[in-house]
Amino acid sequence: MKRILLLFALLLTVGARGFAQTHVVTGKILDENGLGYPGAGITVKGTQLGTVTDVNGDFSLDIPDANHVLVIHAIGYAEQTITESGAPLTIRLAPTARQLEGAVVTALGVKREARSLGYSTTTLSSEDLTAGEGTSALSDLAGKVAGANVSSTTGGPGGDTRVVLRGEKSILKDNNALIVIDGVIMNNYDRTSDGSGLAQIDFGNSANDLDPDEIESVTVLSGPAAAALYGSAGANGAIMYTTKKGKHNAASKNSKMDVTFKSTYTASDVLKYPQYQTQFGEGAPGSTPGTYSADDRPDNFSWGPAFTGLLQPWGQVINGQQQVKPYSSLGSTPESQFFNRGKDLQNFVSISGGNEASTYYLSIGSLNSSGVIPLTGNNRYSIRFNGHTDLGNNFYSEVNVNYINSNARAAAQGQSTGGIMQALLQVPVDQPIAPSANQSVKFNSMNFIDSTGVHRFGYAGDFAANPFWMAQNYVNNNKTDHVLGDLKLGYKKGDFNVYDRVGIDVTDDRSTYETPEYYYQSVDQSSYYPYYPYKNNGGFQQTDYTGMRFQNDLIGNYTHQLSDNFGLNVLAGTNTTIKNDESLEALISSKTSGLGQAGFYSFQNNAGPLQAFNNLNQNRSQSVYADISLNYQKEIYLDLTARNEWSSTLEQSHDSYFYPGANGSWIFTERLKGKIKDIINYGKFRIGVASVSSGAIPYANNSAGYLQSSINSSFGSIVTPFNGVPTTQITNTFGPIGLKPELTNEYEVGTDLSFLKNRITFKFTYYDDLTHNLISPVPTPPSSGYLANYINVGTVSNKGEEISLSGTPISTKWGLKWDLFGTYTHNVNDVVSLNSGVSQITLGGGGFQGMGIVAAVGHPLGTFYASDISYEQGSNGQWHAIIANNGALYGLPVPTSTAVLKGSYQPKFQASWGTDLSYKGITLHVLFTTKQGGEFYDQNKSLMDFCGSSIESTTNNRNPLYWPNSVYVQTGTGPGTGTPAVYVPNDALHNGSTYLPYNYWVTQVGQNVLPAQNLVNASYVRLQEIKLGYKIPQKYYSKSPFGSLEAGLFGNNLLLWTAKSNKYDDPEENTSGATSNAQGFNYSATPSLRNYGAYIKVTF
Amino acid sequence: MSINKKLIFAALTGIVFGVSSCQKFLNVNTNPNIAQTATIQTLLPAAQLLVGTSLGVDLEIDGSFFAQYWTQSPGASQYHNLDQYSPGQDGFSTPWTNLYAAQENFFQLYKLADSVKAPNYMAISLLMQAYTFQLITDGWGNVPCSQALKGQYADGHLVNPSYDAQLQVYDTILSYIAQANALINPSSLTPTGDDLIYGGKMSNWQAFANTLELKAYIRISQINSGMAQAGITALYATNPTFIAPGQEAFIAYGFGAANENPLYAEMVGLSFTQNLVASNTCLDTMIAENDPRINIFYEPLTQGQNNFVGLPQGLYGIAYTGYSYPSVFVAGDSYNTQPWGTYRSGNAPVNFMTSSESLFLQAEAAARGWTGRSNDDTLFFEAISASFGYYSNQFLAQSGTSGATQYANYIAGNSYWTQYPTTGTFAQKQQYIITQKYFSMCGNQGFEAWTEWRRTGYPNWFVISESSILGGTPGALYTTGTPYPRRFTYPSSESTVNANFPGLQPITSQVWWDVL
Repeated sequence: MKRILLLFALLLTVGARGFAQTHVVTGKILDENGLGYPGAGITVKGTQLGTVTDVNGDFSLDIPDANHVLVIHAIGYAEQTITESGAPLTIRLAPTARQLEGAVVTALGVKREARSLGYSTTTLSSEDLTAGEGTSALSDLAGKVAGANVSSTTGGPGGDTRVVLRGEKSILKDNNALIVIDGVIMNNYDRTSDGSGLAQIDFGNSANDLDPDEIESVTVLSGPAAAALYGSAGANGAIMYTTKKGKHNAASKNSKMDVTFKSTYTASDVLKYPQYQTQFGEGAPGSTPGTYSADDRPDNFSWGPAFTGLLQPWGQVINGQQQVKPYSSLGSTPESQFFNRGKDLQNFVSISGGNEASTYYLSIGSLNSSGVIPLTGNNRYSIRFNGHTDLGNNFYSEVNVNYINSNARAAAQGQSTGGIMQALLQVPVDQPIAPSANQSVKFNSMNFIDSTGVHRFGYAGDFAANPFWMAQNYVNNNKTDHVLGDLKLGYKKGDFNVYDRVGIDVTDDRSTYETPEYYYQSVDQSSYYPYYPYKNNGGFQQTDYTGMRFQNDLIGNYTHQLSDNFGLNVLAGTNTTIKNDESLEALISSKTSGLGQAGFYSFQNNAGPLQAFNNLNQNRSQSVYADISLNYQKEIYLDLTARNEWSSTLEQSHDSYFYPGANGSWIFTERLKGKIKDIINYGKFRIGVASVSSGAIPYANNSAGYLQSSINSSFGSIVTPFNGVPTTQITNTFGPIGLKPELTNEYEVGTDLSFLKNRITFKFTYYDDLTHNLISPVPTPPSSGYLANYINVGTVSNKGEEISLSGTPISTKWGLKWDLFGTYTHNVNDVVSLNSGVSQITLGGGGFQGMGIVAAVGHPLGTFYASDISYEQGSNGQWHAIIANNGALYGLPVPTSTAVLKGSYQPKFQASWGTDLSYKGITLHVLFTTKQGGEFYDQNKSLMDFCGSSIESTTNNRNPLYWPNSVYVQTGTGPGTGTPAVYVPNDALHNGSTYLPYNYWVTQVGQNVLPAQNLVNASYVRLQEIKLGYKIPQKYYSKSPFGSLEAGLFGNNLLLWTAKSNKYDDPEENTSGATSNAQGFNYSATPSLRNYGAYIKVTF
Repeated sequence: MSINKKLIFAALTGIVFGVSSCQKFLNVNTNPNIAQTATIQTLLPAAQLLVGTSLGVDLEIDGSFFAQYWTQSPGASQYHNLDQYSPGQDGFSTPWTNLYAAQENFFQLYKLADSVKAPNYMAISLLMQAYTFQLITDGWGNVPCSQALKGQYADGHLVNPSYDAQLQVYDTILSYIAQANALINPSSLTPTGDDLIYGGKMSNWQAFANTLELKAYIRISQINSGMAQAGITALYATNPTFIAPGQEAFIAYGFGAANENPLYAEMVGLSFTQNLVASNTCLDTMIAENDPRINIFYEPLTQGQNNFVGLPQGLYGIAYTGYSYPSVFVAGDSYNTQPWGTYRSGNAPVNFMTSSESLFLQAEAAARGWTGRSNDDTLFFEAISASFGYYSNQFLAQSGTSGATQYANYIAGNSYWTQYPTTGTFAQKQQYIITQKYFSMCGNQGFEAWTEWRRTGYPNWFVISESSILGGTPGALYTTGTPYPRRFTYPSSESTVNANFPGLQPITSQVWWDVL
């Protein structure tokens, strides 16, 4: 099909006119594998004459006797200029993955020549995309696209991947790029369980299920100029995948079928463990400040004395027995005892073929993985069928169908009762972890039945359960069936093509969550807190989601060469989109009596109320659009677009909106002559302006309604009916009158340059985006009776530069080739204005001491707002921490009275650097990526400081000290005294006060009194991909049925270098999910993974 | 059909898809997930429960810490910040949000009841709004009132409500009570089980209205005695009924799972962690005075024994030994089964106004000489008696002795309280009245006890928390002028969002009627 489309593309530029004096040129065009290439275009240079190759790659062309120079075009290959001499030609195409010319897929799946575009696009071939043998076609984009911010939470199978193009534009709506498969929008459903980020389970988002082996190429349209024809949905840019299709003469050995088999084995380990201190062991401060005791049996503290190496009893006394351990360090990464090596086997088979009228492609892929946390894992099965048939009489039809089945079991993150990572971090530094896997040992048991028949726990911790028991008993499963595809019926004749395409995406998703029965009483009551023998009965929750996306596009395209100099292309269409999202959640909460009988997870087993919530969201739109492009001698292009859209989410009087766009390009190298063309062989200037409008989320403009009450305090809730009395309560959000659509205006300018016959290519784009009338549920003061009001709230700006540079320093005739590749992305995000009275909008983020991740005027979207140490600027300009010299904070820094704005999660810049070496079938690929600047909130740091396992908790060997560079307020001055504060240096000379590190790390940092102190520098450099491949030369198996044979070793997400201050986590880990804009929030996420393995690929 | 015709037909179908008609197709934006209307019978209990949760959890914990009934257990850490007097800017945001949400529901109830001609529902809505506005203004001082609750377009779209001076809020409270008095009509539609406080008994609501009016005037009696005296005189001229024993306003919880007392539900949400233990400030005094109510409000270390152990206020930074918990009768014990009959933390009530509170208010009004009657000594003893009587069944379950007998024994064995200064000054009488009121509210009306301490300074033996970060000597007796929590701080949901926000106030700054 691709080649048929290509044929169209060429028909746009190829005209046929008779000339008197002609001769015939024949030839064959071969692809890089030596196979005949159908649909390649051959034009006679300087004329409009041309043809395309047939299914065997053969062509025949009448050309004027005066002309001998032919230009060969083929999508994905370098343009070639050939001088013929009457003899039959054999022309071999050279693939150019990172070329600047050739065809690209633009909005609506329409292919365009790159030179005609007045905006920036990036196209990756299948090989580029899968260069690191990652498991997802989404996360594999990292480091390969300038302007894209790709963040993967786990780096392994499953897990969320967020892709934001040219910065976050919307305050509360999803900022992820649109995912498009063969022109049809995919429902990129985020399966994470909790938007708050405090207790999230990461089942990933559905675009991360795309099997990279099915992808032929991907084009990233970074800006709204590129995506304007998608309408509202394309406001965040689009990632357009083109899947593999059957080919007419795919077989190399006269067979009608082409078979590819690929098998990949991947092993995974935790990429970065938190670094523990190695000086002090399990224990707690004694009653005299500054003394420490190693006997702290129930606790999670590593605040004991310095290690002695002597044997030390620990844990509960059970039947008069207690365990002993050496009081010595287990090294800096004792957590590693808990994790398994993840294993992942991927198999992929595709069959394709065709005849002159039809082609088909069928593939089946599987992924079976086990995670690093015991019992977790991920299985994915994907089936794809793509077919194309010419129906005769200029009609054609296509069908693309993909079915994905995904099953995952994941561990809870954060502070939920099943939050394994926090339980693990609370194991004292010298307490062996691996042995607690054996739960038949009473000291490890969470359900120990004592001699009187009472159930108790025998495990050492009073605050955290046995992590192995948690992994076994908190069962979180997700199952997704996802069908997507499209049917297309078209008519094409000459320069005219019209088709109707119906795209459908149905997602059926089910998550279940089992909370086990839990006993709160320890065996050893002497030093454990005296809980009563209370039992949590356990609970069960199930969430079912069904999403439906329907889109119909009727598109007509007409190409006409107006004259020798002017060409015209007109595209017009209509679009109808329906989105339905339906969910049903039912739960038996362990907090409200829970299950009737432990261990049976069913809704027919409840001791307390069975709660159920259903939800339906409907969103529809209709559009008409047009795109007119004109070119002058294929040197200057002008493209005008316009779209009018009607959205169901706006009131009828405001539901129609129109947005135009224009862009142009000038291939200035067409004007160059002579030797300069040897230096700069291709150059283009481009300029574009575009706008995109979008509606609201469904029901945003509704007034408040009424719902059955569930009345919550901070931790508890009352579920109604209350004593049989039904209740309803007014909802706390309401809509506006006269909601306007959101509007993004973008200007972009750029240039694409190739030097030294494509040895060096350079792309640069500068863009300036302004998004107005953002529709957000803006917080209203609770005293208004409501918590939020949907309005057009404000303006966000994104400005930046995207650069990609590639070069080939070495390319020898004897087969050695060395390519270099790099990207640089710099985006400056700024919340320009918010509605009057609103100084900031909270996106999410913890809430400790008022902490939030916010949109605040004059700051980047996603700025941390958190309480911090109070500072004073001295007369010499230096800043000093303000210390309390009396009261409970004696010697400790005084917290700011309210939270303050700190840094943001937005990186200052991103870059990537890659290299490809190839020599006679051996290839080496290496890709490094980096993000510099930005911060993330790390709860693991807070917890480690609290528990005394962090390196920084060993400050001054835990002896008292003066806070460095600090001052205190002289008595009788400062706030509340009516006298300006007088600051005195806090040192021995000035009668200052010292603090105990314990008090600072435990009560201030560890309990999030100073959450700003738990913000960590998010900078990193990552060895993103490395692959050593070998294509075994065909001569060794030319008599076998194999078409090609390839094998290799690879690694992805392999090494990580973080900022020196980050001794904790991979900065990409987060617990906010892919769609929340409260990024940069790691509330004890499951760790990210390094993956490495081997693959083999065979074709027949 | 020829293939061509079929294809053309199929193409036409596509065109029909593409341009299928607009407005009807797009008309799907009415939220099907919420009801567009409510009934008065479902709104009333929801709104009452919202107040009950704030009163029972946040205001009870904050109040009982600041009134020194309770302190943080060294075995846990949830309420460190309260004992440090440093709850952070958002330490009081949950009750602010929930109380205004309750008010919004009462406001909508009023409008709905008006439209369906249900004056008793309108009256209850007004009385509950008056009661709740008093909670809000006593907690936070100047607060949105006249412009509050009108966020929606239909109500005027006031999303930046201005803050009213506390006197204006009190005027509103009194005005709502007056309007409610005019609306109460026992012969019109009355609620039944949907009124979770009085089951629709309008004579009880009348007593509630009068008691609330008295309470409002008494609260402002020190800052504006003229207005208070005139108001109380006028009130007594109507020969009012006040809440009498048996008419206590409370919500009874615990009739089913997830319908439990909200403080208990909070502790369940915290995995049964026992954060609350007895503060020595109150406990030691009750021990010293041999007050039998110690058995109602606290638990001994060993059931059935008289070994009550408290902790000095704020001394959580020590090794955990055993401490007395607040009892199941005030929902303060996370352990939900106890040997006393059916009483559990889960089914403890949340008190709005009790008969003893009503009688203490009447006693104070009489002691001021504003009621035309000099029966303050009688009312004082009736108030104490009512405090015992309210827990009579609990006394019976515990010891087989009725509240009346316990009261008689207490008075008989106590020479101090029997010497009520019948002929003394008002100041002397007020000390007796408010100090006894303090004991009656132990852990069951903590917010009101702290509020009355702020107004009157009684009891006059509070201490400075051992972990106070506000200065003062930890553990020392409180003296006037020492920094102490005297209000709730405004939440960031107001300070960062409301264009008319008047500015932050520290926890130590006094509200309008607090003139000590």
